[in-house]
Amino acid sequence: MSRASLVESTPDWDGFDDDLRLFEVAAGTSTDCVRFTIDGVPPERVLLPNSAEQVCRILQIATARGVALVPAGFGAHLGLGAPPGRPYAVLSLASIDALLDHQPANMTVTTQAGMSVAELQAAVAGSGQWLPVEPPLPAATSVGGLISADLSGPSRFSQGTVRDLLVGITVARADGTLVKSGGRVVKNVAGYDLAKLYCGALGTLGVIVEATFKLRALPAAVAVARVACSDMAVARELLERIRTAPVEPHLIELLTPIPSAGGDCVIVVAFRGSREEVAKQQETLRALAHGKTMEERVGDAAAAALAELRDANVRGEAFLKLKASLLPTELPPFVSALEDASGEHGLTMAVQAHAGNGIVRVRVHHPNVEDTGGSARALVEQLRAAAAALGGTLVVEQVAPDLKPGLDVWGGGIEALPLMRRIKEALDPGGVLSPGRFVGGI
Amino acid sequence: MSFMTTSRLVGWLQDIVGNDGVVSHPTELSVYDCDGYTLEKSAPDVVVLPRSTDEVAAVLKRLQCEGVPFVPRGTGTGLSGGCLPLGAPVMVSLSRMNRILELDPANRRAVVQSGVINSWVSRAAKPHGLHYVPDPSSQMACSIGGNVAENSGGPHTLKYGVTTNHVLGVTLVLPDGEVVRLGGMTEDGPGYDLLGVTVGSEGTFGIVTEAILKLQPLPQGCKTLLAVFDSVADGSAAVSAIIAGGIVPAALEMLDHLIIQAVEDAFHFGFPRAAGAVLIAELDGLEAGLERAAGKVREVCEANGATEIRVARDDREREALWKCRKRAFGALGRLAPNFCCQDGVVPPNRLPEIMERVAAIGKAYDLRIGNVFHAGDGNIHPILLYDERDRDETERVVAAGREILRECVRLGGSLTGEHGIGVEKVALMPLIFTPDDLRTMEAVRAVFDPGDRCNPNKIFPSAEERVEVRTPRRQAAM
Ligand SMILES: Cc1cc2nc3c(=O)[nH]c(=O)nc-3n(C[C@H](O)[C@H](O)[C@H](O)COP(=O)(O)OP(=O)(O)OC[C@H]3O[C@@H](n4cnc5c(N)ncnc54)[C@H](O)[C@@H]3O)c2cc1C
Repeated sequence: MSRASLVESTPDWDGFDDDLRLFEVAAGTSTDCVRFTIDGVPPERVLLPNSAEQVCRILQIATARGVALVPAGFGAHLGLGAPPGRPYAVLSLASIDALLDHQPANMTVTTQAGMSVAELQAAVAGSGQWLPVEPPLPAATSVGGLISADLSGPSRFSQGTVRDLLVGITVARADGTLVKSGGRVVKNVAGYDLAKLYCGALGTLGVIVEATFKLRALPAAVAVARVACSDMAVARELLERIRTAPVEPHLIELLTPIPSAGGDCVIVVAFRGSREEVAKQQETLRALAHGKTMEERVGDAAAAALAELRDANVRGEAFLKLKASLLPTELPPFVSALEDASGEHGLTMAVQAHAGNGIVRVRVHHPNVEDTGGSARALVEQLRAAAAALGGTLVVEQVAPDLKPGLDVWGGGIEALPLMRRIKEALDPGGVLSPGRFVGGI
Repeated sequence: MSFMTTSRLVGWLQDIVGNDGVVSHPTELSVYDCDGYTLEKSAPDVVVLPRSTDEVAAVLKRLQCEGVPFVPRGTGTGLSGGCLPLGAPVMVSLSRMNRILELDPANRRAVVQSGVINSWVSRAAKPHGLHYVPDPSSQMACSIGGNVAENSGGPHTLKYGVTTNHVLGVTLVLPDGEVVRLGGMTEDGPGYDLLGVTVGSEGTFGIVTEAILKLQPLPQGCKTLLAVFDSVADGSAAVSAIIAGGIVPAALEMLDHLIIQAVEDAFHFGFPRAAGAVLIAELDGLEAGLERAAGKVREVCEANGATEIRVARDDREREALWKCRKRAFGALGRLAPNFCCQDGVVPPNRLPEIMERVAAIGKAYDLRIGNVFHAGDGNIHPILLYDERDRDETERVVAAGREILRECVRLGGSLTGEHGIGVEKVALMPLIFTPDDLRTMEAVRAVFDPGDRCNPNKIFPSAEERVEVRTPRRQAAM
């Protein structure tokens, strides 16, 4: 029997508690246990360390006592990924939340992982700067969670994702050593870019305690336009025209209900930049959308519309939420596949796509709650096959807790999985961190 | 390797890639004895030039069976000795894998073999109104594989990001000959971002044979300014003020007095010969915003002592200017037989300080140092001139280079912004990384290359314990 599986079979919770007391690690309340429940299974403990040193201690203790740890921020995005494979404690970074070093002149910021994205934005906004990534629910999203869950929003079309902005990271390894890669300057190729490994790793490789990002200047003006299209063909044509027009949109989203009743397909385009730039692009868009109904907002109203758009998928009710990654040109055929599936299964859906990136989010509604289990499995398989046939992938982002164990959240056929397993083995040989949450059961 | 082993190896490799795909004659091998970092030289025993991913895989399988270490090579323009064979008898050159495989304008992607020259991609994409953004000054000569390995930058990566921000996927042949695709045509594939850590791994994870690149629309408009300053200090102050002012030019490049003279002698562009420094500031994007942004840059430059500001009148003038900038290294051949280009980084607001230190170090070591660099992201390139026949001067170049990098670190920066650690900066890694940091990186390396056979003895100081390092190493042979 390997050491790891021996440890797995006998977590020593009492010993764990004793050790933690020794190091004065704050424990969460029962409310915290509810808040950090993952797919219906509450954690055995919630730990709220107040320093990177405490995080390292906890990792050492957990390893010694055979306890599994799930690193977390505030718990807003714990529905992503597969449920933990065994009983676990949550290690929340919420109390490690200091802004360490904002250098406005160099457009960088270094922060502890427990700071919320909203607070970070507020802190740098004073200098006319922002971290150009817009995860849903920024006030409930920690910087560590932003990185671990690789959260992004519609603006990724023009701004990229967190991997493009992260220039340095400090992580507590599973064995409790604190290690860093990168640095605090925007351009740096010294050593491997390990920061990338932690982006989207869902806490399976280490506990992020600190991160440095590049910032950008906050644009002076913003405008949002919603253009109604009679059907997908029309929407597709408009997208094509926008693609080749002299505009640099901040984001391009495609929204449609499924089945579509006609006329309910919407393209949202936003512009940010100097006043001249925004005004000129609005004008260009009006010409492109000539003959279609177009609703425009500027200033605060535009900002509010963008926030709504950013959060829509997370806030929207659904029994199943999916994310497909496709080539941008494969969006219309994928929407057709969704139409087919909706007909077959008698379901309705809401689609929100980052059209320029080929990322499609689907919220599935079910009229008959009794029968959801079978439908969910069949539907995920069917749509995953449809995405694969178009050269893409599909993951389950959220589903009712009782259905989760029956679903393949990540999908199979990941070519580099053996390498990924070896990465996990190299950085967390004991399988302490978020066991079972990631691809291939990692 | 012994003569016997080498000749057996040559036979095996010829069976895989054909007789014309293997180089083993000493005179031909001398072409491969260094890259753009010429302080150290060492030729491989054999160079093999595969034509396909399958051939690369077959070559690496054979080398795995024989336990032979190897070093990948693109076009050898690297500036940190990355493809110097150190305990690696076989060099795998990707220069015959030079086809653009696919161009998908609608999805803004290109699929290329790794030996494709960087500038070819933008040339192929141009008819579609697109380009491949990362534009190292060596872009007419360097390969995409080398760019991926070094995570290369270029003048225009200030606004648009470096190689890692523009690569969507690679085909990687692991050191045991297994072929894996990392990333892909679509974004957000499930799993760890192995692509992200492979970019910038300096050819130590395996051989990249293909890459999927993102293309960007050509900017609608472009404005290029040339600001003239009395001193590098004034120019540096202008750079940090521009960045601090929230303006992000597409490029912000500085040339100092020495470089201006060399470039002017070589290309007769019309630079003011007496100037202490010139700053090239290029703004691009929508026509609508350009005039205003250019106006702001002009103001900031004037406020920081610019004595003259010129604007490129047309594309021809702009291209001529960029040609001078990108060929500046070449122009230095007139000043000295050899040069060593450093690649330190500082936070942009420390530029005035570091430039002062560079000048002082040059004086202290009695060396001529020119500066032509990516000022906007604080990435300095002090170019130390020397004559390799002068042993004492050569040693002073090495010592002065290290001192400059130490200063960069002291000011909160890094050892390298785009050229990589290679062999050159191995000994300095402990200045920025702890033994635990380095061990973690080596653990990740071992996932890809458990036998430590792919480009061994690079990046990590642990390499210094394994191979005898004398700097300049070349003297051992002299
Ligand atoms: C005049 C001049 C100007 C330059 N300007 C810039 C600049 O502006 N910005 C910048 O970033 N760099 C610049 N460079 C440095 C250099 O051009 C880059 O590092 C470039 O990316 C190297 O490409 P290459 O094909 O020549 O690689 P090589 O020098 O052949 O190799 C570099 C490294 O990559 C590895 N490698 C190469 N191909 C592969 C592959 N297919 N798979 C795995 N590993 C591989 C090698 O083992 C080696 O470690 C400049 C160099 C010169 C000489």
